[in-house]
Amino acid sequence: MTAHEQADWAVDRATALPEFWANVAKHLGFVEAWRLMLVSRAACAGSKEFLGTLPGLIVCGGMTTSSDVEAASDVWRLDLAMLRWEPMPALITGRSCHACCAVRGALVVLGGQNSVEEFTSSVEMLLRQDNPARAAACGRSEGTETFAETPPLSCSGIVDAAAIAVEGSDGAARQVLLLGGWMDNYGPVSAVHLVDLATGVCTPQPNLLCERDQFAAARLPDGCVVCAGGLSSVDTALSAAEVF
Amino acid sequence: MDPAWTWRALSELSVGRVGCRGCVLSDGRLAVLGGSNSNDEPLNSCETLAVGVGELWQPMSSMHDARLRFACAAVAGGVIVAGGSGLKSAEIFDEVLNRWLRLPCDLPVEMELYSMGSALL
Repeated sequence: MTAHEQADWAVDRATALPEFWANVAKHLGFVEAWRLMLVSRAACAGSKEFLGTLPGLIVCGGMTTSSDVEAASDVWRLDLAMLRWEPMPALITGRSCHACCAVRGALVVLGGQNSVEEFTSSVEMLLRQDNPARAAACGRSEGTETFAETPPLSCSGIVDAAAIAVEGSDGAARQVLLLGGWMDNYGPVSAVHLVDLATGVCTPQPNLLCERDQFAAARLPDGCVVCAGGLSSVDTALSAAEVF
Repeated sequence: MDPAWTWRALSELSVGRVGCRGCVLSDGRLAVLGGSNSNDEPLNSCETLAVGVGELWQPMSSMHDARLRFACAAVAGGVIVAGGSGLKSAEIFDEVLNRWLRLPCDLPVEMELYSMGSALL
């Protein structure tokens, strides 16, 4: 076998391995992983392997229109390997305009307004029941996911706030930063609270520069939190942005 | 949060945006998407900001649909958006192609879903 033939043989061997394509897909990203599926059977298997490692997009509650406009309790998960919405356990309280984020593997839903448009301070969390005895006692199969209520927010009901998970040094605690939002009798607020999900206690943090609700918020890779846009206290569309 | 830290103003978005959504792209830039402007008109425009690097908002490709109060998340080199006022459609921004692609998976609702919570899990 010549050196050229040896090289071709090595390439053929490598590209026949799904693991090779899974690695390629990982570097190319979600959309290109889907395109790779057309290349070969091994590429299809490798891409699916990569896509299967991705988290799903959870969509929970919200306002929906059918015969009437109402706050939904439905929860859906977009499976990125199948591009299919899958039903998940419903929220205990149908709600819209709530804050939501994932914290240490749990989905957390905070505040919002319920089906009769009342502000709520309730909090619920999607937990995985891994205790077989407890799951059996509740009539559920092992590993079933279910929402559970956690202590309500001590800072009152709030809508259109933003929630950012806090990945602090305390490995066991689940904490969330609750930013801005609309509080009953106040309108848009600049308040920021650190919420301890085990107790519901909201500890005040430095206020935002602007009162705002319905805004964009995200945590940057360096840990900074950024807020942008939203509705101001004088009912105008905000273009202001800020970073902590 | 360290109480010694304070909020610092950044440059302003190109337009006021109510009901917009934000996420972080794979290169660390903040992307702010959609919303409605001061005339209550829904927006499909998007913009990005690299905090600490010039800190000026740059235009990003516009979504196919103007969206406000929608679901949004960044994952694996893409940004997925779904629903919003009057919508049940979904699309993804491909960071490699630098453009939005429609996804063949509308939200499983009759007409629209908006003001929902969203997260990756």
